[in-house]
Amino acid sequence: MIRKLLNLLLIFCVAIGILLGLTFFFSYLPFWKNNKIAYQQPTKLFRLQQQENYDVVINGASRVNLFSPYTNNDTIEKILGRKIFNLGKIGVGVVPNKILLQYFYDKGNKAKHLIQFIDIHSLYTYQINENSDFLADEPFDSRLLVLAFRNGITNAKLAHYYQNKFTFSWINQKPTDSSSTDFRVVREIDPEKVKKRIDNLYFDGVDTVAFRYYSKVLKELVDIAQANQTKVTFVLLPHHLGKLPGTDRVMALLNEIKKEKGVEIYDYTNEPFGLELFLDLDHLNSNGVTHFTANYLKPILEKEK
Amino acid sequence: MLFNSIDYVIFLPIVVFLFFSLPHQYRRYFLLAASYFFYMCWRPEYVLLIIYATTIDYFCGIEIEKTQSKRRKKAFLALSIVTNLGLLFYFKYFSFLNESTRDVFQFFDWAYNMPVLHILLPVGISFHTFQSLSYTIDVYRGKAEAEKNYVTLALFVAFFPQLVAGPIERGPHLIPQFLEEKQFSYTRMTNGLRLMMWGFFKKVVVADRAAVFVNLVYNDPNSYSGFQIIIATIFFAFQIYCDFSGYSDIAVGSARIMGYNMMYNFRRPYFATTIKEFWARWHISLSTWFRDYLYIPLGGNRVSQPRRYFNLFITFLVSGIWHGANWTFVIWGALHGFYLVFANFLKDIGLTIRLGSSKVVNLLNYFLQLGITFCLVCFGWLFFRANNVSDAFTLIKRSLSASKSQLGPYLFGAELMEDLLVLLFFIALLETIQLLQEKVLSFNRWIPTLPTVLKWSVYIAGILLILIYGKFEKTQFIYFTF
Repeated sequence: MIRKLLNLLLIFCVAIGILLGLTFFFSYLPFWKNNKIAYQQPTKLFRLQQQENYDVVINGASRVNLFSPYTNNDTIEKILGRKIFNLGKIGVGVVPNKILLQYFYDKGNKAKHLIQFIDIHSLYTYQINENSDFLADEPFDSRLLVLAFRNGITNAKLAHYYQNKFTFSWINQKPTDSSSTDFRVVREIDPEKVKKRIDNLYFDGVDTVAFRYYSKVLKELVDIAQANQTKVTFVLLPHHLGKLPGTDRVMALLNEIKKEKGVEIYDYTNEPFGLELFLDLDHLNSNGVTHFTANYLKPILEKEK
Repeated sequence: MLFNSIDYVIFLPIVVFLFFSLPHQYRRYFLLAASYFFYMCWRPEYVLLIIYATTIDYFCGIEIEKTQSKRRKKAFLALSIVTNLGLLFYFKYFSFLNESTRDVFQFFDWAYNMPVLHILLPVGISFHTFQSLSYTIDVYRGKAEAEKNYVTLALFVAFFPQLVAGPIERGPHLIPQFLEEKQFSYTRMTNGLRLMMWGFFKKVVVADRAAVFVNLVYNDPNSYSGFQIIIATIFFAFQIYCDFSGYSDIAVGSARIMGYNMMYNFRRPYFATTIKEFWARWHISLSTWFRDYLYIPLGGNRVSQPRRYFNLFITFLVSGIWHGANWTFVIWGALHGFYLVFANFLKDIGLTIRLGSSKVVNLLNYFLQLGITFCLVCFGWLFFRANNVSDAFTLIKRSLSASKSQLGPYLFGAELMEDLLVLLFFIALLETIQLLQEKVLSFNRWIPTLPTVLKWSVYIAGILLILIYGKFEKTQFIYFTF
């Protein structure tokens, strides 16, 4: 009887083994097929090597991710004269930010400086934290899976991490054109669109219970960076959405972290950035990225050298 | 606790292990505790409702059996019926009735002051109240003995595999099984696990994938073309079948591991060639419940023709109301009642169409009947799934305007094309397996006869299919809300 029960367990283990093997194979198939995939992909892990030394690692959501596609990454590295790694991903909050930063260090990488871009709504919304699908477009890595599991990413998203590797869209993905530039420009500030955008960002409203938890996560993120001898700076990017809900509470938190952990804060939310520098109400276009890097990011790094 | 959750994957093996480790006399207590725990994972305080109904039915059952007076028997039966249906009415129908009355009063501009009550519907209340009711009615009819052991009766009402969505078991079938001493059987366990695997496939691979398209269309009917609505309605037919029969398979499989046999709730309903046959294959435990406790007491078939039609119609109307407190369910029930009355009427006047008797004609006739029945059922599903009656009519109106020109290259958009193809593949796979089961062989009997390597391959392929293509979004089973 015991032998038969062990047989059943063995069947399950074999199935899991095959699943892991297939996931790994399909995960790296596009990488092998295309020789290498450039950073222009949303994928970070194809680009992230082990034991590398970076001058600056930048972290945040889609507004930070935009510092890398097209020719943007080369441009900002040239302006800053520093080696940069961009961990920013579309649709993420502080929990995925913390996971990716921890993963960055777990691979033996080092960075002198972390620029953590703060999105006010990311400290309120479950949808872009535990329920974020940020793993789906990354190749499979058990270390990242374990990190995500430990940080409370939902089972559905953990499953989607490996399931996505079995789709045609994953297998057939190709490196994007790295020679183009994104010059899309927003034409006007439509109050209707502003309202719609804010409703989209604050999917779960201004949840104070969630805020308390994500405040703790942000502090842990700072601790991780400081434990790895990385200097941390908080930066808030400009946008055309007006004063966002819950801003005062987030600013108070950032100031508290500044006091506790010696983190500098640079708030450019209300800087006069013309519409020609935005591709929509809150995302900089390539010109915007260049302008911000040259006139704001560079002085910060120079100052905090 | 949901069957399609990690919690259940941990819960079930622990329960099975402890169940077989305990001496027989303690197993019922343990299973009852496990069942209440299973229910309390959702909302702990609502377990009191089950305990309350069980206690009333326990005493009513004993009193009905003990007393010789017909009036007293009737009084205790009435008490049981009022208790069970009262709970059901308060939690499920009060708000619906309140809102409907308010609408009528508002229409006539009359004052209506009854406040809106926000009552949370206890999961599975329609199932356990019906199961409990069947027990006292059976005792009253002398078809079952009153259960003297409270724990046994409580377990019959709350047995976790079937507590929240059936199958609605009968006392004489399930209660004696709780009294038998169960021995662990490897064959029975693998049999149960196979059934569970099939259930998981239906739920997480087919139903939850179909739900993506169905929700898209049914939650925003004005944004989709007639063709998309028709496709979404067909997908809903598979979604609800795979969701509910998947649940039933997991329930029956879980119980079987512990040695309990529960009734099958589905027999491939979309292979039915008439609506009558559909109801003999769909939610069998509910349709037989209504037959035994409503249709037959109303007079059943042994009455005049118009009265028989009335009985049939009323039974299906009540069945519709049982499903949910919404006019869409009332229409759905009435529609099925109408289908059956109409079919009976045609039969009674001797109107049957014969196309011929050759093999080819018979086959064509079979597929034609199959297709017509499926279309009629799908039309009913449209009301069943629509968020309200107005949406249902919008969907009908738009689907009547379906044309070839609405067929774009992607149907639901390029980003959902791959999901659509995967879903179509799995529906085809499901139907092929079901066709083979219907016409050729039972997989549950065939798989154990395979050589070990092949058998293992089938199991591994099944597990992989579920893990790779399943949706693990913690979606509720549709029938949990009934």
